[in-house]
Amino acid sequence: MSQSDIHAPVAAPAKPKTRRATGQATRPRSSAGIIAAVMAVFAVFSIGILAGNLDYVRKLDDLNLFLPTSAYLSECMQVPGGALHWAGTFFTQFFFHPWTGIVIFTLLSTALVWMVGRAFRLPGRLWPLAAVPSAMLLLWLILPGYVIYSLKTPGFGYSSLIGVMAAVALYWGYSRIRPIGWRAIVLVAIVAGGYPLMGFYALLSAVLCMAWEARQRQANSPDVIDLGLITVIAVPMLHYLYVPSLLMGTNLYTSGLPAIYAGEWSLIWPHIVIAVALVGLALSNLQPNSRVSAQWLGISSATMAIALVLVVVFKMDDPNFRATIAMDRALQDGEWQKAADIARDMPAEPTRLNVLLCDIALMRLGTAGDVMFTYPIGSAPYQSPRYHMTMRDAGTMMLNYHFGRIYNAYRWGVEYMVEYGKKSEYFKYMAKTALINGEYELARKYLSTLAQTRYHRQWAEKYLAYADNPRMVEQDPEMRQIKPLSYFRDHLGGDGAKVEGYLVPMVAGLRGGSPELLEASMQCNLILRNLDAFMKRFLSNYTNYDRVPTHYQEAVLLWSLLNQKAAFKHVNIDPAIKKRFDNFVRLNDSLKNLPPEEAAARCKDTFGNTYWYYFFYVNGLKTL
Amino acid sequence: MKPSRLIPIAMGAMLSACSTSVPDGARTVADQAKIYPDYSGVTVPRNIAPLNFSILDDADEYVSHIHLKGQKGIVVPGATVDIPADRWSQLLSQAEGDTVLIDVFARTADTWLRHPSLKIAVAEEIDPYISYRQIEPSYIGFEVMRICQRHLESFDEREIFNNCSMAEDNNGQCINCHSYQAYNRQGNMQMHIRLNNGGTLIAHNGELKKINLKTDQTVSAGVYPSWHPTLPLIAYSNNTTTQNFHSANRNKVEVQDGASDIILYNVEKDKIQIIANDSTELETFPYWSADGKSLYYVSATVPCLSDSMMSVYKKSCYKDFKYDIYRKPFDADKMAFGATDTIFSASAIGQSATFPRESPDGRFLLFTMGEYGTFHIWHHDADLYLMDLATREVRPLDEVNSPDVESYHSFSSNGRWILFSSRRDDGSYTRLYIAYFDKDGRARKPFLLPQRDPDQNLQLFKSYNIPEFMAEPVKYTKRELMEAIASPARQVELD
Repeated sequence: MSQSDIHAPVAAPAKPKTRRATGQATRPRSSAGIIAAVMAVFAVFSIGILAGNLDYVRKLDDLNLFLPTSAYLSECMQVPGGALHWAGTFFTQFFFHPWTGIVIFTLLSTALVWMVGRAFRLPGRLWPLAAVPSAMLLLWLILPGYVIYSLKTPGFGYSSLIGVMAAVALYWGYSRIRPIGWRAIVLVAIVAGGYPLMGFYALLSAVLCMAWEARQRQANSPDVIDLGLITVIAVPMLHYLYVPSLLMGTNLYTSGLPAIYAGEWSLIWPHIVIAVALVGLALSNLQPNSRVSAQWLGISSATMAIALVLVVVFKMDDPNFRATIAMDRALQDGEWQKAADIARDMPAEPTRLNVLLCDIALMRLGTAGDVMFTYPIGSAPYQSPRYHMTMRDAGTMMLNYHFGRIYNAYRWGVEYMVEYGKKSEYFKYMAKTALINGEYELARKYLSTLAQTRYHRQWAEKYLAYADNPRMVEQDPEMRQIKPLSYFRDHLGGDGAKVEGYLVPMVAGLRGGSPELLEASMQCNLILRNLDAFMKRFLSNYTNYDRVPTHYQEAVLLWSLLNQKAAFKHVNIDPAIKKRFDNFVRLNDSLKNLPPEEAAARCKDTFGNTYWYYFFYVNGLKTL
Repeated sequence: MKPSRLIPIAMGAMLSACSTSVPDGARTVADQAKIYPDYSGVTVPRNIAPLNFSILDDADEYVSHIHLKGQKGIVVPGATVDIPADRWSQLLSQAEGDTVLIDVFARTADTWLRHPSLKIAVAEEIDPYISYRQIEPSYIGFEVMRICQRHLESFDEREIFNNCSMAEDNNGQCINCHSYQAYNRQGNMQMHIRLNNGGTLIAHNGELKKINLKTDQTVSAGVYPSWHPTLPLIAYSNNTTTQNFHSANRNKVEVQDGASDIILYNVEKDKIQIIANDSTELETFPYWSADGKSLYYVSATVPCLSDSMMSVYKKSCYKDFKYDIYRKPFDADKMAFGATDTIFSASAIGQSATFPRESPDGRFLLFTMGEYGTFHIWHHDADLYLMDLATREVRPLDEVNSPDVESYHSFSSNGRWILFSSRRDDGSYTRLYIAYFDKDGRARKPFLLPQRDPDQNLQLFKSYNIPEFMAEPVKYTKRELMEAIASPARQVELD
């Protein structure tokens, strides 16, 4: 089969009704079915994929903030491509109700399928190719995983989608203009007018136009292409030198693209596929009524299928990431037990972040002392190209808040806002910490901004009432638990950008304070295996328990054994726990000549849910 | 806060074009209308931009009448009062020494209520420009910062420079400490660039150059600058500065110097001389007297410690850092400084003073004072204080101070206005206030820098930093500044 099979124009029309009055060729009716099928398949696929990511898309709204104000629009427009950020954050907000956002995304990305097919004049049998860019954009939406916490691209999923739609639409209009003189003017206008709004995507549109122009082989086409090249090179440079903006010199030609770091090929490649696909289609110079053999339907369908398979294969499916955002959601909603259940049901070794989120849930339930070491414990690596910053970016603010380090939680809210932009989640934590600290006007500032949003207004109005009536802070179920954890003496220093490495030792080192703080301190000392420090705090507190929590009893028994002291005589130890401990000691003694991994394996089934197992056999945990 | 202001502002403009009139038969009430910003009882310059404001009281309809007593004035409908600039300017031009009245009418159901007039006194002119840096009240991280200039007679704000243009992805840039000679009348200015393409940018007599103020004999490059009022000299502090964070204190951040000295830079010769570098003193914040014959600065006495011990000392004894105000006479012919005179011993009263600024007429010294430390913007107790230089009496500037921090401040060129930074609005985001300052050293109620959208300050998540008056705007283009910043830095030499 040769290229001429594809590009062979139809013969002079024997049936006048197949040709429009304008002289444009029309598609055979059988194409309509293919087009409908392609769009339907893609739409169903998109919904199916996103339906399995409800927590994730909801999280995208948490890490988004759209404000219906002129100030916000002006702020977005400070960089080329800012209009896409504005539109991107506008659409991302609908993920607050995941199904609403999923439907909107699917509609727009399916519309793009149709736009690509029409703009590039695909014959019916090649229409499956039109789904490739949309498939890659769907993948891009769900690919980043942990990187969503540190991606400096507001509304990233939609900004790319709308950018591609705009690029295709401009190409579509350009390729329908007959007089070459007008095409030259439009090409310059696409770049000059489009670059401030769309950045890279205006340049992409111009490249598509030039690719198409190259295939027209008109006498002046080379001149138009030269003009286009000059414009594409010059406009960003002139904008950079003479227009006040926040454009970086290194981003002249990529402004508007997602802010992916060099070397992050796992995130870059879908965009390359999109660009290559579109340029390829522009160069193909197809006509809707081009004769295309049936074989090409198979090839194009296979191409579409590969694209969809790539979505399935490369979408972020890491169980730890899923657990993190699910637990985060549960904690934000005050569903402590749900968060704990998610932790328990994790199918893989948990990350430190997930372990700490679970600990927080158990602390809020008041059961940490009984069960925290019965939950999965580990330090699985973060599946992210930015793994070294994941725990900090995904968890610092939340963890500091829940461990009562209110000032540090506020600090990280500001640090995140500075680095990654304004997000509703940051504003919520900053507002809550300000309320707990008694900084009511500051809380009002964040809450008043959230009250302008479509979906966070209700949340904001609830807490605005707290700013007017501070007693409500004392009565709030969550703040009532957090506030006592903040009753410690001021210390001037910093956290060294550490998370667990700062929080747990800090809390463990506190002496005295509220009962809640004492509990947290004891639990942190258990995590750190500081039995002496645990015992000091426990012995000052144990008479307050009707029943001493299980892990505390386990720790007391262990401390007594290791120190050959009989402190446990003063503590009411459950005989069953004592008996179990004796069994553990016997087994542990019998295993002492085995390699640690084998000893741990032998112990795990019987004692894996005890503090003793954790103390002796859970080692090598890496954390930040 | 109401959502988008676009529609009400647009509607307000349309309605005003349709000649809204003052309601007849309104019932007068005793309570003053609640407005934001609070412009009631302030004194403004006759060339200030319109004081647009929002009416906070709940009602169905609003009309505001801005006028001089017995005159027709301007009538503006709507809760967002967007005063037509040309008519405002015309009103103020006749009003110096007089009082502008703002009558707020509010209708609920069929009843119009008239609130007592808000009174705005009008006084002398103010310098037409100010400049400031916009940056978040952040801790360690920074991303976007801009140095801007604002035309006070309008709402025009233009960027002088931002830190993104020449930053790279992992190699950012910090810009700070913009400073002008003689209110930028001759276009002489300086600013620092840190990190990528670092150096100090000097604009002098139409020439731009970048210099490196760090030498082997100084603890750092130049930091806080002060141009001599007439000579091509800039006094700088050199500071080794660190930040630490409170775990449970509303002051949140402590910015502290481990070492600081003062140098004098000769702009024409690219040479520096050391003015003060006692190792047991933290000399900083130099500022020339109005006549250029003296140099003020502040200094705190610290124990002589190694770097590691000083790091511990700063964290555990941060309240012991108390700065006093000093002054050295300067002989311009000999380029030499005389003996130090203690102007104010804040430490003697358990306080710490910073930012000494002499009024243009040389009669007063305005400074910031708080319980301890040098970086008062983070100290909620810091306020403005005024010293009568003739009597050395010091008093808090109660007419201006608020329960929250007041810090950096500048006098206008005619000495009648003070521009200062304050966190009175919410305790965290620095805003700019302007207060009238009469020749007898009394100030009047300050007013918030007016904005076209009165809610702009509520929606802005940046602070205004280092506010300075200017008689002339900065005229260098972005490209000129970029070329200068990209050039190699000339190394200064110790004289």
